[in-house]
Formats: sequence, structure tokens, C-alpha cells
Amino acid sequence: MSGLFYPRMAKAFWTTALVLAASVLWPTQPRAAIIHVPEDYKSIQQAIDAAAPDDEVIVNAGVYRENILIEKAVALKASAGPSSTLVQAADESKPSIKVNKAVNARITGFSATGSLAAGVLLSGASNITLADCRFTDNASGIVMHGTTNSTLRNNVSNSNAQYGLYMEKSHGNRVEQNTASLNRDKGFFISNSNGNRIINNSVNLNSWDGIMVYASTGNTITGNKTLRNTYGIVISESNGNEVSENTTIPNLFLILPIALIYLGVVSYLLQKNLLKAIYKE
Amino acid sequence: MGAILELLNAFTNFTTVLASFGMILATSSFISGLQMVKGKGRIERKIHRGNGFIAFGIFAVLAISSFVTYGLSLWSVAGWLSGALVITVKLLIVHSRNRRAFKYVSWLGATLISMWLYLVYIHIPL
Repeated sequence: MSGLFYPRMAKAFWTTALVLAASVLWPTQPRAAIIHVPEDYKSIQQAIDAAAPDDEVIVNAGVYRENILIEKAVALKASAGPSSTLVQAADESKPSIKVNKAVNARITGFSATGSLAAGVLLSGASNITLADCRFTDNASGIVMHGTTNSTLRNNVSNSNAQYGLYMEKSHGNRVEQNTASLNRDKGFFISNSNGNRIINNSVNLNSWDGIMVYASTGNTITGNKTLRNTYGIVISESNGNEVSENTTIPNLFLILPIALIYLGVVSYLLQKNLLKAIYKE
Repeated sequence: MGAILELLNAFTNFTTVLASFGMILATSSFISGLQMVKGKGRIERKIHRGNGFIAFGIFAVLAISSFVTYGLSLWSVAGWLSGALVITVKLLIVHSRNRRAFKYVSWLGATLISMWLYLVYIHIPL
């Protein structure tokens, strides 16, 4: 019994010593910093420039007249949400927000407006998350160029001069639960982009196509509502795309008029009998 | 059941309710108008006029509501004016009591029903 006890004690001692030594000597991972705008930095761009990769920039409510450029893995978050945090393009010819060749950046809760380029431009980026943002009155709301494996969720891109979302040479992205309405050309324009998942979006009341897929393969377009566009979903010069369970004419569009005409006939008969009783014709 | 719920949900919007009510009145007015053409009496005339004028009032309220909500644009003004023109032409023909013009009234009535169908369509909430 004692012969077994001593080697076990020795093993436990050396294990504990090694763990202690490792915890003292091993370089610790630096923790992500949180930067506040305007408390720490006056402008969003200054905060982003000062941030290290994986830092979080939290922006308070307000109107920020600037063109934001993100080239690193920062998380940019509007604490008060898109209804009270607006990025107005200072230089109209540039996007209000541009993510250039960044990986793992996050943008949440902003409104962006007033750009003749785009509300947000994702260029050559990957693993970007764009969520809960609002893009109105830009040339296009969201533009993705050469962007891969990114997620666009719960954004609103309305009343833009061209497209709600324009995706070019972008692959493996996930676009879900977004709204693109009242844009003066197309809701979504997917061009030369493959393997994207376009799921459960509302793309209504756009002047031309709801969703246009051009020269693209392997995209999944499912569960979307495309109502009152000139054309609902258009697939052109493309193959291998899965288009299923989208709504272009809901049952209500047929049921309601029929029900109302029926009620009109009933109303006529009721009035007729009522007036007959009154005037005793 | 789902369709009924969807139908009820549509009526949570005030302009949808208004447009739907206009459609019901326009249908009643149209049927009584057709009966008048067949030569039926004053009850038909009362139904036709009463429903027609209330429907016209609803049309005006919907037009004003549209301009207030979405502003004035060329297409919306042109659309509402076209509707008003159809109603005015119909009233003028009826009041002219010209027999030759009367044969077009049922066509104008059908146009008014189509107009109300379109008004209901554009007011269904998405």
C-alpha cells in the first residue's frame, strides 16, 4: 500500500508544480478592449483606428457625419440601435461604411444614409456579420463585392436609388431575415455569386425585380416574400440554384377580393329588403 | 384556419378596412345600378346613390391618406386622378340622361369595380 502511495504523491506534486509554472511563465492572451464613442474618441473612425483586432467599439446615439473604413476584426456596435444612431456619409461619393479586406468584423445596430456609392460596402472581406442595421436613401443599401462566408441578418435596406442588396462575385454568404422594400431598381441583385443562402427575407414593392439572380450557381433561395414588385424572382443565365417555398402571390390577395364581393352582394340584398320593409314597395 | 387568421390580420390596418368597406359599397352600388338599367324602381336608385356616394367619399379619404403618408408623386397623382375621372364621367353620363350615352354606363360601372379591386389590392398589408 505504501509502495503505491509514494509514486502517486510524487506524480501529483510534479503535476501541480508544472501547472503553476506554466500559469506564471506562459504569456496570457490579451483581453479585448471596449472603446466608447464619443466618450473615448470623438469620431467612430478614430475609435476604429485606435482599436486592436477583436476590440469592441460601442457607439452611443447620435448623428455621425463621416465615412467609416474598417480593415480589421473589430466589433462595431450602436448601443441605442438604428433608430437613433445614424452614419451620414461626409463624402457622398464614398460609402457611408466600408469594410475592406477585413476578416471577422461585426457591425450591428447602425443606420447609414446619404451615399451615392452604398450604405455599406463589403469589399474583399470574409466572415463579416452585418446585423440589425438600416440603410436608406443611398445609391444602393448594401453592396458586397468579393466577399465570402459572411452573414447579413435582420437588416432593413429601403428606398435606395438602385438596389437594396447588390452582391457581386461573393460566395458562401448567408442573407436571412432582411427587408428590402421600395428600392427604385431591384430588391436583391445577386450577380456572379455562388453558394449563397438567401432565406426568409421580405423583398417587396421594389420598382423592378424583387430578387434577381444573374450568372450565378448553387444558391439557395427559400422562404422569401417577394410581393408587389414588377417581377418577383428572376433567374437569368444561371443554373443549379434551389428556389423553393417563396411567396410571390399570397392566398390573401385572392381570398380578400372574393370575400368582399360576396359581402357586397349580401349587403345589397340586406339593404333591398330593409328598404322594401320601410317603403312597403 | 390559417387563411381566416390571415384575413383577420389584414383588418388590423385602418386603410385596408376603409378600402374593403369601399369595395363592398361599390359592389352593392354596381348590382343596384344593373337593376336600374333593367328598369327597377326607387329602392334600387336609393341603394345605388347611397352606396355610390359613400364609396366616393371613401375614395377621397384614401387618396388624401395616400398623399399624406407617401407624399405627392407623378404616378400616384395620375393614378388617383384617373380614378376620380372615371367616377366623374360616370356621374356626368347618368346626369345627362342621354339614351345613347347610357349604354356605356355599365362598362363604367365595371371599370369602377376593377378600380376598387385594385384599391383593395394595394392596401393589403404586406
